[in-house]
Amino acid sequence: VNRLCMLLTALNGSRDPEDIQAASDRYFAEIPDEDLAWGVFLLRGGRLKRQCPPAVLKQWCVDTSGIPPWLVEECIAASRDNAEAVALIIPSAGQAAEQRLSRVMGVLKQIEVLPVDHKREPVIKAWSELRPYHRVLFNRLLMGRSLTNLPAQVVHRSLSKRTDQREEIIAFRLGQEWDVLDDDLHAFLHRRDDTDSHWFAYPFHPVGPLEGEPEHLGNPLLWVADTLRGQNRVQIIKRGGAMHLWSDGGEWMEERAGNGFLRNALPDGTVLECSVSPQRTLSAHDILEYSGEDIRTRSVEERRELLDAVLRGAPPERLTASGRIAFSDWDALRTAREGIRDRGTHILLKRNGGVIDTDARTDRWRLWRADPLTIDAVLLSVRRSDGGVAPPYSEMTLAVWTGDRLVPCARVHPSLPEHEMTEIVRFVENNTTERFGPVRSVSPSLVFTIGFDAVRNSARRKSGLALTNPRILRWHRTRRLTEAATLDQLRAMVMVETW
Amino acid sequence: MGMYVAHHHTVPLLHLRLGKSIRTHGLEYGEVIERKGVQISLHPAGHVAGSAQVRLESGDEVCVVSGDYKLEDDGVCRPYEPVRCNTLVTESTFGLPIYRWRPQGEIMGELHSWWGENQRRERASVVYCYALGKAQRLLRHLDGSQGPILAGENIINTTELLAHHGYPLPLPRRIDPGLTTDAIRRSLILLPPSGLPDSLLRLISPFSATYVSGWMATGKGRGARGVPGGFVLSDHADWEGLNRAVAASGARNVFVMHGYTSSFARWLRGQGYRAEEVVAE
Repeated sequence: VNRLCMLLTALNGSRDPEDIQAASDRYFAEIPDEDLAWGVFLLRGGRLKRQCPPAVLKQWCVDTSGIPPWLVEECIAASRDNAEAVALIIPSAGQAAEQRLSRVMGVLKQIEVLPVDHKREPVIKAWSELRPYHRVLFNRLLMGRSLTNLPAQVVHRSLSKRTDQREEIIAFRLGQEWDVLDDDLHAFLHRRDDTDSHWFAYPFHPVGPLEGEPEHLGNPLLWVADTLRGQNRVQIIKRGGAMHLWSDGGEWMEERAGNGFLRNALPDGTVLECSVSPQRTLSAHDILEYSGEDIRTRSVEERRELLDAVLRGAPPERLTASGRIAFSDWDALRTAREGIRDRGTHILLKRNGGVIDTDARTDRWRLWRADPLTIDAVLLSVRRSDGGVAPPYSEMTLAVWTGDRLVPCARVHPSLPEHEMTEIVRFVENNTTERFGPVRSVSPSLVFTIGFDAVRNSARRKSGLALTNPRILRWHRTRRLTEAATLDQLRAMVMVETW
Repeated sequence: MGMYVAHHHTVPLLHLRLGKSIRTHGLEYGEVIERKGVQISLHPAGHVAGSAQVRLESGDEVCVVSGDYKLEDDGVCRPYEPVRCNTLVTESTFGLPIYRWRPQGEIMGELHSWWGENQRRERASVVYCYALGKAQRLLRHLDGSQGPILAGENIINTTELLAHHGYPLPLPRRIDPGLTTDAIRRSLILLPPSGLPDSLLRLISPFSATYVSGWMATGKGRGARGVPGGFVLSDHADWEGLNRAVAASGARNVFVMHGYTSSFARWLRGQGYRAEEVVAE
């Protein structure tokens, strides 16, 4: 558990991908075999069933520490994380012995089936046997939270070094059918399977955002521009008569997007890189394998020719070639970008003559994101963080007008500056009209500008619309309630298929 | 014009920070001076070199103003000594029971292994810490045989001054372009939270950075400083320390200032003390 804690501490706040990979590698190199499966499970963001509500945990903390409830509350307010506060409040008698991760997870799985009252004793016993920071982890799992949002790819890469198995195979097997309680992970990953060679994907070429204006990239003649229908990238793999989809997060995706259509259209031995639109159509902008040959080291122009050749057979309603914008100076590209009819179309800049190379640090592709669509919407309710770290709310629900009613249109993460969050917390406290679990409904009065990449029809939602990638852009203090957008305005933004 | 009365080790630090023109009067711990019928003496607070609790006595009333203090012996400054009094004014920077420190030996062990890991990856190790107090505490306990120890200008000046006054402190090296790349990659570099000018930052890159402070105890504290990891080591008393100090003083009246004042005062009232928070202007 100690190694896992140190890894999580090291990851917390680390933004350098090299640091993250090194920390993960070190963890996986050092842990004993018996902890491997749980380590993989937890670091891939796995969580257990929520075992007890925060209030119960607090009560047990009061019982064991002798700290009065009001002071426990103040500690939670200070740490903003009840799993952490409870763990740190409990006094430790000396340094507890190090516990195996597999043992702690065993305890958690054992009590999973017990009624809450019966969990009290084992939980308190576990607390007494764990060090304070290990209790934090224990409590988070007890509350059904995941420990990290480390990209799965990082875990797969480390595991690949540990188990001597190819990263792609690990990703595929874990993504497809793995259960942490299953047999030996080593054996599972090394199981012989003759179809292995059929579905492996290539590592994705790194992409960075275009920061500032494209002029920073230097001579425009050294770049080519492809259009992307969405920010998610996948590889379509057609080998041995079967089709596989891999996301750039290293995850194997179930057969989706009706790719049965594609099966006949793409020749065997083809790997394409595509962007996925909000409507889940695919738009290919690169080719990595042609006629069973790895062509990543061919130039971007050569690959484009082969891509176009392959796509002549694909049914256009499912898979198209992405557009390539011809430009000779940055202003021309800027004009072309503004002229793109479909909002939510991004531009991917690749270096002219460049090859595909996973380790390309300096030769990253650059993503010039589409400007977001925006509307003004009214705050309807907030969901309190489940004792999570800041911010105090995990979600804000915003609404637009339909007639004189407000209908929810988006749930967003409250990414606002801290001082605004403080004001909003105060507003919520004074204006709550209804409580439902962690959700607080408030009297409508605050207006926010939200941005999103696309709108599509969705029968599952009250509004009949779903926003892609909604986020808060700002708190619009001067907007009056009546000036917020209407559902009709939002409907008018539903993306029209143009191909 | 007013005068600063301080422990005589603090006097040069006052001159370093406030200039030569100020008037000062240095005292030894336990030495008594009298002003307007009040007997005044200073007593070790264990916070940083020269830090003191102030004892005031007049007639039957003895009052102690703790200032910042910690109970653990940090190996640099004179350790905290409890002073009996009727009225105690205590700090409460970490006056919540989530703040419970581990012995500095354990923390130093972890810091060394973090340093070792960075050395294996051929990266410098940057440790952000306060120039007075934490920096000297780290220098006192860091193992110079593991690699070169460097520091920012401010930390070197403060440390030199204290070493000059008899504190047994090893002096760190300056960060200058004369250092070999290999030396930098193996080094541990103490920097004040304000960091370094860009030119020197470039010199020591690539590096891993961490922060040594009591605030590293919570995820919120770590997040606020924008560095991964962090080591929990403080020159303030933790929850247990505050409670032990209050009990050891024998005071029935306690005033609480700095930090979680209202929580700690309320807790003390629950423990039978007459306690109030002081709101500093």
